[in-house]
Amino acid sequence: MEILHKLFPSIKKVVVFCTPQFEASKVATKITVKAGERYGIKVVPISVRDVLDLEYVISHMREDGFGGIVITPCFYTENFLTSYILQYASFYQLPVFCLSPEQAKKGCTVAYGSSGYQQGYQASFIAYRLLKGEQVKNVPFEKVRNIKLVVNERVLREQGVQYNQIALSLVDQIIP
Amino acid sequence: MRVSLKTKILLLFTFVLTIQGISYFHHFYILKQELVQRWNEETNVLVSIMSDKLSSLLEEKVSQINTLIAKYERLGLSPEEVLWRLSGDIAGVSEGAFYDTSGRLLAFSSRLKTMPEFEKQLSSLLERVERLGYQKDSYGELYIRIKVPDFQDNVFKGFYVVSINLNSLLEDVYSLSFQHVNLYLLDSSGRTLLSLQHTVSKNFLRVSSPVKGTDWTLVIEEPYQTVLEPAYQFLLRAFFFGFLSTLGLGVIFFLVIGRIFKPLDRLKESLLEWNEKRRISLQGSDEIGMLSKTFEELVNRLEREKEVYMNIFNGSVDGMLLVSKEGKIKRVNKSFLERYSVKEEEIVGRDISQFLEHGSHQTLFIPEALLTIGSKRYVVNVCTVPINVEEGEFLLYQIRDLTEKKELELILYRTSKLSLAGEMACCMAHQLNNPLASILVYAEYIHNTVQDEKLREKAGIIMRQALKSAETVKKLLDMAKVFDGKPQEINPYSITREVIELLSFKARRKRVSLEFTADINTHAGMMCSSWKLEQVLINVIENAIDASQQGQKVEIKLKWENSCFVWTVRDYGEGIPEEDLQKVFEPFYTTKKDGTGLGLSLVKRFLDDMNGNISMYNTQKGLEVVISLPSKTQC
Repeated sequence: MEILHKLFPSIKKVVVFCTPQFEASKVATKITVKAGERYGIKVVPISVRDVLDLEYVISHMREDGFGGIVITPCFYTENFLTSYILQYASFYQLPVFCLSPEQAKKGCTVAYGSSGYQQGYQASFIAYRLLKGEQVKNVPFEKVRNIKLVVNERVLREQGVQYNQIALSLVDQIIP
Repeated sequence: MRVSLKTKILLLFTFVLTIQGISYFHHFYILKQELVQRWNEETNVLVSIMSDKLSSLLEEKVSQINTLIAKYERLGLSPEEVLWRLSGDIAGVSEGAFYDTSGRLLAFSSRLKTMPEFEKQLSSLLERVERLGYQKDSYGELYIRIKVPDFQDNVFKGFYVVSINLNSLLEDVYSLSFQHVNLYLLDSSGRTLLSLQHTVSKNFLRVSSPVKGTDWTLVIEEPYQTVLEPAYQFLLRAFFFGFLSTLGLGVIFFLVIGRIFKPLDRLKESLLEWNEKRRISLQGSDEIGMLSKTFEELVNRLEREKEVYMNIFNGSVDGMLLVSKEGKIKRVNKSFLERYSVKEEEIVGRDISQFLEHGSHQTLFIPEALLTIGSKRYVVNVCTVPINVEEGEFLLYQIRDLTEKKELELILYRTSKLSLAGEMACCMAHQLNNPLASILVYAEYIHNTVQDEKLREKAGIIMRQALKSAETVKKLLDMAKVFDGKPQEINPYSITREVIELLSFKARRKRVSLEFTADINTHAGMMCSSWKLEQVLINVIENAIDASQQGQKVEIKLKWENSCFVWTVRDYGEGIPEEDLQKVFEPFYTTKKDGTGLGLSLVKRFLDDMNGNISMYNTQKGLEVVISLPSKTQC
């Protein structure tokens, strides 16, 4: 939320698509709402059942004063809706904030986090230890270690959203 | 104390098992020591390599930080932006802060936290790389804060303080192949800074190595149990397979021993019973000992019996042959070899049919059979008996020589014939002598009294013929004398004349003329058996007459040569084939239709008795027989 605020200071209201059935989605939504409050951004969680719901929500976001979409960790959203979210957001010119640099390549405006490859690489060591018979209690949690800020310049330009040029110096990778 | 063989085998089995168990544990103990020693050696090398790698990784991070700070500052980035970049570019670096030259906090940045915790004021302002301390986050990951002085164009600008994730560093040096290994990073006072603990145990093997350039110590420990796992596995496997193999062997052993001992027990009992009957005392500690003693006794008895049988076999007067069922001669006795003048190797291994015409594998008795040894033939009678000896079934041939018996029979036959002729001649001579005497007396009276010359001449003829008849009668009486084989002074000329006279009737009947010429002193004598000489001459001249055709002649010559009387008898018949010349003196060889084949063999034997010699030659026409007898040698 801090980076979103730095890049897009004009955005004051965003949507978070969540799936209440998933505990992780609920926790991530709560954290996002709390973080938004710190930077003066209203985060509205919305649950959609299918693609029609999704299109209806996104098509009315501008009218309702929403300036962007934030995608939080959620199995359903990340795996089944992301491509539709990116498609409709592009159509309705709404910037999307994602968690994985790969999503920026697919059309996400800004992504901040560790790539799926990096996470898999890091997790593979843990998996290997478990597969070799090590006790789960002996394997500690690990934080992701390679976090990148990636911006899709083409999408940013096409959406015509106002952004902070200085904040772009924080970007690790710009996808042309 | 008598211990049975079963008990001995059980004791041996137990002993082997004990040895096996002791060797297992001994090997296990040695293996344990070797494993511990090897673990210490290998892990010492490993921990040393790991500590070196940790040290070099840390130096590399500091070097990277210096390089990137210089790079980004040249690009004109602010300290906050530089810190952001550092946390993105260097793995394990997630946050950092910038202090001015007096140690006041000016800027900070973190990729994970909005407000990272940094001291407001640095305690150390030395312009060198320093480790400021350690920090743990909410996940328990340990960070070390490194202070790096910032120089721009050799102008000291301040300090960058960067947090480096030690967990990340340690995992980079940690080998995943170590499953049960615990890794510790200790500080200078021995407190655990960081641990990658995988195993909990009471007993550990532990090695450590200092990390260069720091006051840290890297420690690797592994449970004693894990290190010695191969030894325990060996013990388990050895015990398992040893138990299985021993059990299997035991079962097999039990079955085999059972199968061996059951008949052995029965054999032992029966032998003991037999020995009790034989009253043989056996001494032995177990069944095998008793059996071996019994068998030894049996073998000795068999050997003695075999020796007796061999003595009987060899000592028999008759020839004995042991012949296999296939007809191969396996053994021959001494009597056979001596009687037929042959060597053992010429007989043994040959087929019986090569020697005996009537070779048979049945029990039989052959009254007369022809036995051929080399070029000689013998008349034998054969008795065969089947016998079982150790090598199998055989036939025992008992061979009795009948050759001499047959010869004697012939002589007896001839002698009996001559004897009858002699008796008849004697009788006739007695009957003729009285009329002849009257004829001679009256013829002499007429010859002396009458004046008529013609009558006187005829009376003279009657006188001469009567005298001649009287002479013939006298000869008949001489021939009828009883056979006497003793040597005596004889006249060879007279003997020859008498024999020719005797055979002249046969010659005349066949129209064969006998021509006798003598080139010796007609009164010369020699010591010899007249009967044997007569038999020799009769046989030879008779054979010549038989071989001659009608109208042919037989020449008989008597001469003196090299102190020997030599008779040459020649006929003009067909002679004898050259290949048969050597056989003619063998018994039962004959070319005559009704011949016995014994005549010339007798001639040969008689001449051998008299130190004489006989030889035969085929001439251009007929056969020539030469007989020589030494005059001075007593025969």
